[in-house]
This record gives sequence, structure tokens and C-alpha cells, in this order.
Amino acid sequence: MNQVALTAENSKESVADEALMLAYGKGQASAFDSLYQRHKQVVFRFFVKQGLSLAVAEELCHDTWLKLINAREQYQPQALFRTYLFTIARNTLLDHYKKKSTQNEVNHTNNYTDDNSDDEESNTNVNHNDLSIKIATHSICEEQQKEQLHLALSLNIASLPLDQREVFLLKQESGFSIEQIAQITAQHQEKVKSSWRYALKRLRKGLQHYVK
Amino acid sequence: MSNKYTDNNDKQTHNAILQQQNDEAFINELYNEVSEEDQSQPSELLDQRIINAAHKAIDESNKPKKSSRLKWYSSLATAASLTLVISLAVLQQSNILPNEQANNMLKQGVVLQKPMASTSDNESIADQKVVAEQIDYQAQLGYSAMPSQVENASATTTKISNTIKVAAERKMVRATQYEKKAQLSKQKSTERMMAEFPVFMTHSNQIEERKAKEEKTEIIDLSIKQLQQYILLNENLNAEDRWLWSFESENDIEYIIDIFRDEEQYIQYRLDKAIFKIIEIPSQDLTILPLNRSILSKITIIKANN
Repeated sequence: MNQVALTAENSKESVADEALMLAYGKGQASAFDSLYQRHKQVVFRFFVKQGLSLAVAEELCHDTWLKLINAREQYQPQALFRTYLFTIARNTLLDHYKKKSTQNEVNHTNNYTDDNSDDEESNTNVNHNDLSIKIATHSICEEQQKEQLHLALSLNIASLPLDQREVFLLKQESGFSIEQIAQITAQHQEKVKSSWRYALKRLRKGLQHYVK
Repeated sequence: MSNKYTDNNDKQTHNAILQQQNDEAFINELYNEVSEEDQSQPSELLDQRIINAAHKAIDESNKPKKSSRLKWYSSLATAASLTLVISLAVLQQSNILPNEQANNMLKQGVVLQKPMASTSDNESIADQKVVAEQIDYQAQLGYSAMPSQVENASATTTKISNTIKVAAERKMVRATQYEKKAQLSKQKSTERMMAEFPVFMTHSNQIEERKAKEEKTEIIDLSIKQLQQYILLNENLNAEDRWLWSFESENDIEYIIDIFRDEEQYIQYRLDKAIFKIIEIPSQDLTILPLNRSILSKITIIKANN
């Protein structure tokens, strides 16, 4: 299992991560290279699975790592490095949404509408009807079925409410435990559990037609 | 009933757990199918940007230490050079070179001492103080400017200033003493005048009392006009003034009196006894008193009736 594999890797690398971060904080640049190679994919996928475009995901990824770079001297290994990293990533994501909502408000007040907008983030607001339409347009061949399933999964995840989506992705994609997610999101564990349950229900409901 | 409720709750909880497990299994199954295809990674360009940023941050964090050292040295050098320039400028402005300064101060001392002899006491004392202060100040300036080279000059000027100060103090004491003496002498003379030389007008009341006693005689205030009428030898008498007089002596024909122009100067006059009669005012101590100016107030001139 993907999650199991990630957790096993984390347990082996957790100490090394903190040591590497401390070394980087003291001026050892090569330590950052190792850290980045270990966690770049997980961070990137955390953003991509939010339903953001690749460009936006890369930008947020860049911001996250820059914040980590700037905070290198203040880093203290009180928790897992990954928890620290994903706390930064989540805050970056929330900042992005805040900025986005402010822009939308400004656009709304200016009665500005752009029908030809190529912003791929509009997909986050897609509902199940749109999903079924999009998925129905795909052909039925086997290779395409997987692709269809992948698209459906991504779209369904993207259609989750923010609190459920981030809990789902942190648990399913990044392999964090409920306790760690509660730490990252600064929420109570029961709230995290609840978000996790609702996310699963919602995804199963949206994806049950694609399972053999 | 309660058992039934608890059983129902347990069943519900159990069902919920089963449901969640099923959901998790379902999602995991989906993820397994998709995970092979989903190998999305950030672009190499992004990797390069982030790693470059990380290395640059470390380089920059090392650089400021060097730059801070450079700043420290440069700021120190700037401060030192500024101090040097300012001190040189101050020295040039004050134009104090050690030997010249000493000569100048000596000259100033001599030149400023001269006028003191010609001025009055108070002015000279004030001048002396000012000069002393100036010389002290200049001496201090000279010492602070170049201590080693101006040492002799400043010592000389200090001596001069001390001498001037002492002289000024002595003069001050002398002036004070003189002033006290003058006041005392003035006071004494005033008292003596009041005792020995009363004005005639102050005796008018006494004359009037005597007039009442001596019915046949006429008391005359000795004014200048009256004197002119009765004086035998009239010399340089100013008719408009009143004069003090005193009895000097007498013979068979005349009295001899002194008319005083002031405290020191007097002129003798002779009064014909046929016309004037000088009567001594009766006094208890008359026998003791000599007939001179000290008893002037007790003598009056009476015009004879005959």
C-alpha cells in the first residue's frame, strides 16, 4: 500500500530529516538538497490533489519551500520535520485561497466577468453532474478506464470541502496519522476524524460506479 | 430496555466502523489502481529554482558577516578621519601655535595692565577681572590644544593672571577702606558743625526770648545787609548771603568779629561800640568757656539804642 510504504519510509527518515534541517539551518546547503529530494513529490502532490493547476501547484510548492528556507534558523525539532513542512504547506495553501477569495470579491464588485478565463482552479467548484458529464465523454477502452478513474478521483477530491479535502489528502496522500493531522491543521482530533469520515463517504458516493 | 438500547448503540457503532473500513478499503483500492499512473512530480525548473534559492540563502547568510566586518572597519576609519579633520580645523581656527600663543598672551597682559593705572578704581578692578578671566581662558585653551608645547606659555600667563588678581584684590580692599574713612570723617565733621556752627536762623527763637527780657534793647539778626550798615571796614561782603560769625576780641572803641565765608575762610570786621553792643548770652559755664568760635552761638549782636 502506498500509505503504508510512506509511513515506513518516514519512520526510517524522521530523525534524519530533523538532523538535515538543523544542518541546513547551520549553513550546510547540501542538507537541503537531500531534504528536498525526499519530500518534493509529496508536497507537490498535496497541492496538485487540491484541484489546482500544475502552474499554481508549482508556485505554491515554491512558496512553501522558500518559507522553509527563510525559517531555517528558527527551526527547532519539536515535532516531525514532515509535520513542520506540511504545516507550512497548508498555511501557504490557505493564504492562496484567501488571496483568491479577495480577488474574486474585487472582481465581483467591479462586475468583472471573464468567460474565457483559463483558470483551471475553477474546476474545484465543479459538482457531481459536471463530473459525470466529463467522465461520460471518455471512451470505454481499458486504458482509458484507468485514466477515467484517475480523473474522477481527482475531480471528486477537488470537489470536497476544504477541511475534508485537506484531511483526506494529508492522510491518504501524505500518510499522516489523525493525531499528526490535528497538529498540522491546529484542530481537535475528533474534528479531524469527522472530516475524514465525511470525506470517505462523499468520495465513495461519487466514485462507486468506477469500481469493478 | 436499557440493554436493548446499548445493544443498538453498539450495533450502530460497529456498523459505522465497518462502513468506514469499507470506505477506506474502497479508496485504497482506487488509489492502488491510479497510483501507477499518478507519478506527478514538480518540474526540473522548479527543482532548480528552489535548490538555487536554498543555496543562495546560505551564501547570503555567510556574506553579511564579511560585509558587517567591512562596515565596522569602514565606519571606524571614517570616524577617525573625521575626528582628525575636525581637530585640525579647530586648531587652525583658534590659530594657536605654542610660542606665538605665549607671546600673544604676554603682550595682552602688558597692554591690558596699562589702562588700569589711568582709569578709576572700580573700572580698573572690573577691567582687571575681565583681563584675568580672558587670560585664564586663553591659557586653558592653549593647554587643551597642545599640552606639551604650550606648557611654558601657560605657566607664564597663569603667573600674570594671578598677579593681576592679587593687585585687583588689594586695590579693592584699599578702595573699601578709603570709602569707610571718608564716611567716618564726613560724619564727624557734620556732627562738629552741628555742635559748633549752628545757623543764625536756628537762634531766632532764643533772640526773641531775650528781646522779651531786655525791653530796652533791639535784637538784630545779623544779616549781610545789616552788617553793611554797621561795619566800619566793609571788605568784600556779599550783601545777599547770610554769614556765620564769631566774636574775636574788643577794645575801648570797637568789637572785632570774624565773618565766615566757609569753614576755613573768614574775614575780620570791626564794629563801632557806639553803634553795636555785643552781649554774651548768660550761661552757667561762661567762666569756663574761652571767648572763641566754640561759643559763637552764645553771643549775639545788639544794636544800641543810643
